[in-house]
Amino acid sequence: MEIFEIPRNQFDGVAEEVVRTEFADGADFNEYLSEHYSGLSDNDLYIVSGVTELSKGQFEDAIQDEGWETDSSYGAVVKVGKDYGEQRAEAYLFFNPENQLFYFYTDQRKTEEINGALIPLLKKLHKAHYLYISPRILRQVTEKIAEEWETAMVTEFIAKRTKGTKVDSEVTPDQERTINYYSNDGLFRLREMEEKYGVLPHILEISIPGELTFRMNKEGVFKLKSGSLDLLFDYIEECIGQTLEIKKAYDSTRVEFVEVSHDESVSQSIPARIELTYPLRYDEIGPLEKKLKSGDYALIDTITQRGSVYFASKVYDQKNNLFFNVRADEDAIRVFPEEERNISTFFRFFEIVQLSLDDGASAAPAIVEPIRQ
Amino acid sequence: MNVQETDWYSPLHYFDEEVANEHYREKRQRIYEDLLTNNDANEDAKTRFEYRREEAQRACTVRTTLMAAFLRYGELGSKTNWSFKSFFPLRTHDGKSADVLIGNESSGSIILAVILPIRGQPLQTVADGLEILANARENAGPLRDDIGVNFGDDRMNIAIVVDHGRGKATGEAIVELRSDNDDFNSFYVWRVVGPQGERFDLYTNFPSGDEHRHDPPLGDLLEEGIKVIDSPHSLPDFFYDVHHSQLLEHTVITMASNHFNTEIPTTHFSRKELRTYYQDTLYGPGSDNKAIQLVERIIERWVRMDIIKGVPSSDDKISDGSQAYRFISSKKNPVSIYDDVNQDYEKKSKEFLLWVRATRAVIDEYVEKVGKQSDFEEFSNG
Repeated sequence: MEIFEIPRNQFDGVAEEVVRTEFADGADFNEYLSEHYSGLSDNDLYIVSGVTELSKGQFEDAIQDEGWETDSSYGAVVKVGKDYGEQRAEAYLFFNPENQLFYFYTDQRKTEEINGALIPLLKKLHKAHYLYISPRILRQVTEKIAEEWETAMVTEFIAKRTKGTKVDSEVTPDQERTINYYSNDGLFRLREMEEKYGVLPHILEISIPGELTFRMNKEGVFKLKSGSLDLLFDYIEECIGQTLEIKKAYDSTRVEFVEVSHDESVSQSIPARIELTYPLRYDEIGPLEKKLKSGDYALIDTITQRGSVYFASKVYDQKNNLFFNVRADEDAIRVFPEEERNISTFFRFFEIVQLSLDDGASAAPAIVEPIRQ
Repeated sequence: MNVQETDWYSPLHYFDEEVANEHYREKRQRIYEDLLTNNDANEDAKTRFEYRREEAQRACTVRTTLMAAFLRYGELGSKTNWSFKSFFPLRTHDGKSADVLIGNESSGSIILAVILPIRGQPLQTVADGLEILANARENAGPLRDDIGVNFGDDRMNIAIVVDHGRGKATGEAIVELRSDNDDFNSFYVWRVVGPQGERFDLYTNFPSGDEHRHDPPLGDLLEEGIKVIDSPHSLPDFFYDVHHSQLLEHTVITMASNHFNTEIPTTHFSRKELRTYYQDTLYGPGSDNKAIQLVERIIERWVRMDIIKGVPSSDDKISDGSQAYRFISSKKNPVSIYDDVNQDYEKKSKEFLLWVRATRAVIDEYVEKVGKQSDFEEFSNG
C-alpha cells in the first residue's frame, strides 16, 4: 500500500492550496496536514516519534545506512522509503534541529510497513531512541484533556501494574497485572482501576467528539484516527517535556581527559542522575538486577551494601554493545558514561528504572562542583 | 593479584617440576577427593574466596573514591589546592608503595594514602606507612619528577585510609608507634566508604588528645565530611590486585564485545588482545609490566580451572601472532557467554583452592621424605 501523496503540481481535481513543494518547518507541515489530510488519505495517520543525539545530516545518513532513501524533498520535510517485500515502506520525516526530536508520518499499514520496517528502524538506529512517554505522563495528559474537554472520552486503554510502581493498590499490591479495557467510559474506569488495582496506562485511545480521536502509547507512536492534527500536536508537546528532561540529563554527561602529572592523564566521567521519589531499599536491588539481566544487560563487578543502601556496578548493554557504570544510594542512581556513549542506552536504562524500581523517577544533570580559581 | 596468586602458583609449579610422579599424583587426587566431601574444607575455601573478593572490591572502591574526590570537579579537588597525582607511586622502586598520592603544588606538599585492608591489623598498616614514607623520602627526586610537584622533605604526609569503625584502633596504633618516632606526627586517619555510601571524613579522636588535623581548607572540609558519589569519577575497571573472579567478569564481556557482530567467534580472544586491554586499564608506574604479569598468571589459572582453552592455529580467526584462547561456552552473544562462564565460577574457584590445598599436603609429605629439592620461593617468581 502506497503512502498518501502530497501533490507537487496542480492537476485535475486538486485544489491549488493543496499543492506544496516545500514546508518551512514542522509546524507548517502539521498545519498543512490539519487542513488537507482528510482529502489526501482515507486511512489513519501514524506519527512515529523519537529522539536522537545526531544532527539532522548525521541522522539522515544513519537512516540511509539502514536502507532508507530520500525519495523526495519538501524543504524541512523529506519523504523517505525502503523496499519492503513487494511493497515500499514510506514516511514523511521531519527532524527538529532545535531539540533533535524526529517524527515519521505515514498512513501505511500498522501490521505491515510500520511494524515491519519503520519500528525496526527505530530499534536499530544507532544513537537514537523512540520517544519514551512514561505511564505517569500518559495519565497526566489524559487528565489534562479531560479537564479541557468536558466531552472527552477514553475509549480504550491497556493499563499495567509493574514491579517498581509506587502507585497504591487496594487489591494485592504485590501482584503485577495488565488490564485491557474497551468502552466509552474508559476515563472513569481508568481512574477507578488505578485506585483499586494500582495500574497506569501504557496505551490509550482518546476521543474528543467533533475535535479529535487519537491513540498513543508509551513508545511514542501516535495514531490520528480523525480530527485536528494541530490539537494532537498540542498534546504531543505535553508528552515530550519529560523526554527532553531525560535528554538534557544525558547531554550533560561526558568523559574528559584530565592530566594528573607529567605523562599521565586519566579519563573522568561526569554522570547524569536518576532521582528517585522514594528512598531505594536494599530488597529492591535484586529485582532491578533481574530486570536488567533479562533485558540484554550484564552486570559486572557489582557491589551491594545493606544499611544505608549502596549499589555500584559496571553495566554492559548488549543492544548497543557498550558499557556504562552506575552508582546508587537511597536518593538517586548516577549513570557514568564510558568513552563511547549512546542516548538509546540511557533511555533504555531510565525506562527499566521506571518500570522496575520507581515509576516516578526523573532524570537530572549531574551535580558538578565549580572549579576553584 | 599479588599475594593470593602466589598461593597457587608456587605449589602447583613446584609439584609439576619437582614432585610429580604417579604415586604423588594419585595421592593428590585422593586427598583432593576427600577434601571435596569435607564440609569444613569447603566452608574454608568459600570463606577465602568471598573475603578476598570483598577485600579487592573495597580497595578498588576506596581508590576510585579518593581519586574522584581529588580530581578536577571533585569535592576536594575543586575546593582546595590538593589534587590526585598518582596511583602506586614508586611502585617500580624497591620497597612498599602507597595506594594513592595526593599533591599540593602551592604548598609543596604530598599525602601518601595507604589503605588498611578490611581484615588487616592497624599496627601493621601504620608500620607499612612509616616504611612507605621512608621510601618516598629516599626517592624524593624521582618522585618529584614523576608527579610534577616540588614537595619539601618535611611536607610529606601519610593518610591511613580506613573503614568506618576502625578509626579508633588506627589512631591508637599511630599513638603506640609514635613514642619513638616523630614521623608519626604527619600521619592522619581518613575514613572512606562507610554505611553512607561513598563518604569521606577525617578521624581526629586520637587517644593522646592530639587531633592530627590538616590545614584548612582541606582540614575543615574533611572534618565536616564530604559525599563523593555525585562527583565525576574516573572508572578504571580494576587494579593490579584485582580478584580473579572480578577480572573474569570484566574480561569475558570485554573480549566478547570486541568480537560481537564480527566474523570472529565471540568466545575467542588472543593473548595480545588481553594484554592490550589490561595495559589500557591499569594505572600507575610500571603498568605495562604489571599487565603482562597479569596476563601470564590469569591465563594459566583459567586454563587449569577449565574456564578457557587454547584455540588451535587452524581455528584461529584473530591471527594477531599471539596464542588464541576461547572461553568454554557454547553460547554466542556476549551476555549469554558471560552468564554461562560465570555460573559455576565460584564453585570452580573453591575446587581449585582445594586442589591447591591437596597439592600442598603432598608437597609437605614429599619434602619430609626426601628433603627440599629447590627453593619454594623460586616458583613464586616464575
